[in-house]
Amino acid sequence: MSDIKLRTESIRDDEFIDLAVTNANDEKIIAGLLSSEPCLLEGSRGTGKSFLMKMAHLDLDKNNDFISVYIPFNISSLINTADPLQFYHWMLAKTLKTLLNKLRKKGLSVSSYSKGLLSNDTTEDDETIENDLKNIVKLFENSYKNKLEINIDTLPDIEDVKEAIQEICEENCIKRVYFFFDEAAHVFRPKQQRQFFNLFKDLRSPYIVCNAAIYPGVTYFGDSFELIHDCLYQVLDRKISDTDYLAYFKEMVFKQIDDKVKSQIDKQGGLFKTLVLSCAGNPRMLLNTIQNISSFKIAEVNKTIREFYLTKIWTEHTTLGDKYKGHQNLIDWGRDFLEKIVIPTVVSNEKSSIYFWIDKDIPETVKEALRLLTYTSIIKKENSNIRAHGRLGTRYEIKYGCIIALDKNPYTKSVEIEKIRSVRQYTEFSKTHSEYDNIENLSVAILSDEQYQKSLESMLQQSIDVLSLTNWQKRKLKEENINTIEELYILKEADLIAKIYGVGPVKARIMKNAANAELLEYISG
Amino acid sequence: MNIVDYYSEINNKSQDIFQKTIEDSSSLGETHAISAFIFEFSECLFEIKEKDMLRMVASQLETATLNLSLGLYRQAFSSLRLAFEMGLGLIFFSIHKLEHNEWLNGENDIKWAKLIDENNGILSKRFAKAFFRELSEDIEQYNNRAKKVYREMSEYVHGNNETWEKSGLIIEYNENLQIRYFKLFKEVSSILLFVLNCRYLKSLESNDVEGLSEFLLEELSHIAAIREFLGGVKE
Repeated sequence: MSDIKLRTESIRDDEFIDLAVTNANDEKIIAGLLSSEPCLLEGSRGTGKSFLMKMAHLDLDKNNDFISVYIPFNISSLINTADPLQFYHWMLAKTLKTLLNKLRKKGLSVSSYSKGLLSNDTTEDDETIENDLKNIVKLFENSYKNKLEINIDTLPDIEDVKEAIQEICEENCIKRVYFFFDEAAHVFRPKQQRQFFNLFKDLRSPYIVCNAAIYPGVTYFGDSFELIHDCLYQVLDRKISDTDYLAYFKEMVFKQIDDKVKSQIDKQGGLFKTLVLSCAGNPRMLLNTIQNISSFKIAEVNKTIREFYLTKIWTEHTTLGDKYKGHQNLIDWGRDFLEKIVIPTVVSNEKSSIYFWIDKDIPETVKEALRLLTYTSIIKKENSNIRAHGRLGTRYEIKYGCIIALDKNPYTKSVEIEKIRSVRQYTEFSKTHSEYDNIENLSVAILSDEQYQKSLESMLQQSIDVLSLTNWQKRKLKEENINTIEELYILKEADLIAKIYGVGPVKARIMKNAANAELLEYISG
Repeated sequence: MNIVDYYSEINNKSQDIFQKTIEDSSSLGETHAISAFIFEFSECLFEIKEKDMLRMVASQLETATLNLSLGLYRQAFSSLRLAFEMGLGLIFFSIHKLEHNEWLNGENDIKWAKLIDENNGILSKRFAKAFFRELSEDIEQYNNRAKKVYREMSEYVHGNNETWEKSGLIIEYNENLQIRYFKLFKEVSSILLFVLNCRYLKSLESNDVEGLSEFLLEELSHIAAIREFLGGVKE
């Protein structure tokens, strides 16, 4: 089977051009990302937001009039700082460091480290604007790296940063600097997301354009950020009703598979079409299923669809609960509601195929559960202003694959419902339903920081037995009363060396890394 | 013409080449960014001899590009190969202290065959398993790539007849060789960055990892195991 790239992050820059496929909506989105307006691109996981952002970024990168900086926010232990200002500075420092790297790559700045490599000049007294920016980064980094109290008034503010960027542009005949923020809304907790959008807004300048990818349902903008006024808001959505839907996905798949598989697909067009419809506009899901198919035969395709859309997709949704422990019940309720109530009702309604409508006055908890389902793209908000019997409500599309996977023969079921998949035919759910009562008492504060903190604490309280350490190392730690991940996490390597006989720098590092790795693994979600 | 005039004339030619070469500031910037990053990486190493050797690699990479800018193409390829050998040699010495000290004393050489050995070299599964297990599936392709790029650079160093035609005996600007150099530099740096991270990334202080992460996520995010280790999205 071909080596299929499921994630944009796994694609090298020089491979993009060979894998790119765009339709009219994609091109409109790219044009928005290239415009001088800040842009937010919304789409569920795996819909291709990063890919389009990367395409726009690479396009700008070829043009000497612009500097384009792609920032994939990563999770670091520094992210968990208690001070909101420190977090803001952390984001700003990361953004500016990536910009400095870019200036270096473009030949607009020279590293002070290597300046002395071939000359004896090791001074860093150049009064260049790049050095100003470096100093700003240093000040921000010191503000969160050192645990010491920092006088915030001594730090540069956002206007200093904007001024520095403006000067870089003016000195180097650059029209604008573009920042592409990826994964910010995924990596950060709600409180941090609000700060991210403050930064996004604060960076507005004639010389700076910020673009970011966001998710439906789990993005928190904060009070000061207004989606309509503060950015160009675009939604990445590929409707199965689009006339070029099948051709578009076929071209995309054909860019990644070998001739043998291409020939199988050409011969088994109906089976391929079922797979394409199943993904409901989500390239990663389609490529995932294609990767798992050993041969294009009905039984194999049916098996793959059932495995993916009955098991894998729901497992992913359920693991959201591991990440946000306080919401496990809500996530589970959403799954039950959809699997046991909505989908069977929709399927039994001969006219409704894959759509359902729900009253706008349903309990907030139900809305939140539905929002979480849009994040994993099991459902898609199709239109939030639809009238049914005089009442306003939202129409959702259920993932096509999740519907047909319930049947023993998904392929046959697909042929059947394909004929009736009009958006005008949907099953209605009113503002009252006996199932809603089951989540009445759940918190509506979805993904709150308090709950995150609670779940983080419970992780830190786990025994060191869960860590990847040898029995000897665990025993030694326990002899010194270091029993939990937290007790190990707060210690420095030097403490371990001093406390434990037989532990030197190497073993101390291994022990500390094990605790850090566990923490990173956890907050990575 | 005396000897001063003679060399002045060569220098003038070289300066003409220099002016043409620096027009491609973007490629020069990219090579400089890599050398600078390798230097920054050396700052994070604990062992002083390893730190020094990595600095020499960074310096050698800059020398290679300086040669290129002056039209000394063969010397550029030769310096690039030396930087590559030293970079891989450093990794080898970091796990073979005896050989490292002998090399420092001038009693031992960096042996390419040992570096590249498929079973016990620094681009072997065994090596990855010991230092960055999750990279053991990726390492084989880097071994093949290392052999290929080394062979190509060696052609310029050993003076194969074909390469004499390519690099010439007269100092003059050669755009094809310049393009070739930047391609080889990219490949060399990609392998060096991979093996450096395979060997050291997991043993660095978390603050140092954080400091290197922006650059690494830009250069190596397509390698899932490295991306995930740095806190990037999972595959």
